[in-house]
Amino acid sequence: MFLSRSYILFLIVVGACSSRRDTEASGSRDTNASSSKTNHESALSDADFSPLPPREPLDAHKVALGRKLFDDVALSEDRSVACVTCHLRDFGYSNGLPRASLPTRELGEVNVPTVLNVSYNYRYNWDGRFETIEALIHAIIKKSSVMRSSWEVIVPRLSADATYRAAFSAAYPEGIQPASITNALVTYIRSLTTPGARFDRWLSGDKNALSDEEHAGYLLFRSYGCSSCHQGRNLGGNLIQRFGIMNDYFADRGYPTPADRGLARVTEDPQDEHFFRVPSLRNVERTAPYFHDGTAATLDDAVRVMGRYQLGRELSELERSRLVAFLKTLTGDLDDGALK
Amino acid sequence: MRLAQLVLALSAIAFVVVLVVSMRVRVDADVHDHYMAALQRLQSLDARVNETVLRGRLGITRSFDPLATMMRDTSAVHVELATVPSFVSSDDRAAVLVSIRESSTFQKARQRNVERFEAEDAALAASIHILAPETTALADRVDGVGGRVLADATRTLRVELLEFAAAREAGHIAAIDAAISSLRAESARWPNENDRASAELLISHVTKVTQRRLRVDALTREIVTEEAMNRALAIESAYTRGVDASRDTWARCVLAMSGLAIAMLMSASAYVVSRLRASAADLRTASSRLSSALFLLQEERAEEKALVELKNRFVAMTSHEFRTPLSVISSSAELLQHYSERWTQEKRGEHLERIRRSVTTMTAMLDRVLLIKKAEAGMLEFRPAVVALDRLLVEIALAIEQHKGTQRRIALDIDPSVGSCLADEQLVRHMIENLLSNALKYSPESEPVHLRASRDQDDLLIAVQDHGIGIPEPDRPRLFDGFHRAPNALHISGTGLGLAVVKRAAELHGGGIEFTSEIGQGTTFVARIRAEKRPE
Repeated sequence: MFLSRSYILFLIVVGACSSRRDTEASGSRDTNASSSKTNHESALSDADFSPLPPREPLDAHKVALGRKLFDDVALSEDRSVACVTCHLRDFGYSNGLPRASLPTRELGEVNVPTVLNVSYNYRYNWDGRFETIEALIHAIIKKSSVMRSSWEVIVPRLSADATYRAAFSAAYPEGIQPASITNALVTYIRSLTTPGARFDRWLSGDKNALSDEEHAGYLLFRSYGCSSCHQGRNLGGNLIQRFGIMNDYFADRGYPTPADRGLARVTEDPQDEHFFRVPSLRNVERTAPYFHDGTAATLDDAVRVMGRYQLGRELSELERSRLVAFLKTLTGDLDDGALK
Repeated sequence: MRLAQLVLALSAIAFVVVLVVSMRVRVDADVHDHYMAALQRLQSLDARVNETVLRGRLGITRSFDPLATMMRDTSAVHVELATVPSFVSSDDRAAVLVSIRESSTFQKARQRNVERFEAEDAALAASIHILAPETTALADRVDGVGGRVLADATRTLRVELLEFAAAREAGHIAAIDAAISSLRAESARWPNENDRASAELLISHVTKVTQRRLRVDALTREIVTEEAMNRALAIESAYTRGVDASRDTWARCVLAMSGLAIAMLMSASAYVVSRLRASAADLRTASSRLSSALFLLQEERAEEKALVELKNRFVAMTSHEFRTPLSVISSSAELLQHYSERWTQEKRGEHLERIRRSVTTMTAMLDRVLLIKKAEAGMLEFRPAVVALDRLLVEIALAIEQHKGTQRRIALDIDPSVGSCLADEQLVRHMIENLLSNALKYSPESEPVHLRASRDQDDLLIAVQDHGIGIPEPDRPRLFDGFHRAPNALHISGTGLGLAVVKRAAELHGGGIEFTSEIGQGTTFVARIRAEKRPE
């Protein structure tokens, strides 16, 4: 392998200095890295974090059409459920509850994830089984606890509506088809991004964007290793990780559910047991409660659980408050008309 | 030229077929470049994934966004490559698709490994993050309050871990375990609960690090291989094979089309040439027909002219010849009219005789004209009978002598072998009379005329010789034509019909007439008739 004396020395030096040096050097490094990024997909850097790029220009017709579909109960078989029924705008596109709770459906298995900034994720769903939003939508349409429908029902239903016919023919040459319906929804979802978070402004060079406490929280976030998994543009969303690295979360919590198995539920690979898609921490302030089982009611609870089970640490109250302060700086501009 | 047409048609059909085939296999440069670019992208993505994983392992890469994007792009490129250009034949395309499927399957497995690598590496990084400050903090803390042994144990653990990090050998784990045990033992003796908790935390992280380090290395070895690149190259070589095969086929098609084009050209020109030749032949035939028609026309014109000339000669001759007897008749008649009462019987008789003789002359002339007409129309009758030719010849000669009423003598020389034969008496008489009277007419009185007859086996030769004016050279060919008078004979009366009849008569006897002549010396006519000797 790659072993020479000088290399070992180099590793020792790196290992010894990494943590301390990092905290001092990180600021400038991040600024340098972030200021060089401009585009949406290109120039993805290997620095820990980068700010969200500005909203990409999308076809306004398709976005409007997607929004209409997002809010339309016609997508559900019994016309009782729309996407927006669980992904409520006032709750950060979640529902403020531990699980999905609908009068006409059984209790959801998991917490409702947000729809914000999902275009910057690489895996979808708590268990990370979907690699594209389209695949997720296709599954949701059929899922009995959600839409309980099918394209064979939805397409004629939408085709019977003159407004939809007109809107689709304006935006899509093929008219009302599963592909075009999905594309409209995906286009709308891609429009739901929240650039402009205070942390992003700090990354872009505004040193006054974070208060001292928030900055201290940021440093803890890094030095304690939270940033190992909650990294990248979205502070998460690009990794599948075990829930309960240092300790067994599920054993401690009890009452195991099928959803607790994570990706192993899909792959049946024992290596994937309890592996979940790392969620994005952006706008986390607005999407309580937390975790797939919705057991953490507050950010403080969530941080404590993360510390104990992912880092093996019992975080002090001070540490927790600092970390929570930092997490709150990840809230982007939610007052944009598009998100209302 | 059926063959040329057939070849042309077949070549044209074959050309079109080959053209269609060639269009299908023609390697579109843009499409090809596009596909090659996608293949390049696949290979470069693979290299970049390797590079990024290595950098992650070295701790340089902290964000997993690039890797995630690369894995997604790799899947997308496989989808793009599955649309193999249409100019690749179906067999080659199948091979390409197989290699794409293999690569895709491999990439999916690789992607899982990458994701596992990311998870392990993230957890590893988290642990490492904790270890350095925690170890130093704890060691310093306890050292300050007399926990030298504990501090040393802590530091020892750290060193062992670093050595393990450097060497990456599982063998080092034993040393680490030893360090852990000693730290645990020392910590158990330490009174401070927080410090004990810190030590436990350290130990748990160190354990994780040793496990994860090895797992990360194993995953790195799994991921950073040449396998992905080999499979990408396999796709490229399968595709390149297909492109080369298509290019070969295309080249062959072009060659075939060139050959077929040449064949078409040649058969077309052969066809055109044959058509031209046929037209030329037609033209020649038409031209020759035209010239022969023209020739016939010219002959007819000549004949017509001859006939016109003949008619003119006839008219000239008759008007001339008839004028003389007619003027005699007219003058005698007029004289009789005026002076017959005063004339003696003798005188009157003389003029009447003149009139009668003129009429006879004119009648004879007309008879001769009719005869020549008959002769020319082939209506001259040939009535053979046994004739004593020698006696006939003598008789004719004497008659002529008397008729002429002159002192002219005809010298006879008749061979005894002449004897009798089968002949038409009238025609012979006519023939000989004519020849003799011509001879007398065209020679001076002083000169004799000879009549000789001899036998030449089955032919009789009758020669009439005169010592007269002779026949000029230019007139000789036309001597036997009807109404022909030689210019030197115009002062001597005659119709010019006689010789034509003589010739016809001789021909009817199965013979002919010949002559020899010399100007101023004389002419000899020799009539040859077929006459088998008959017994008397």
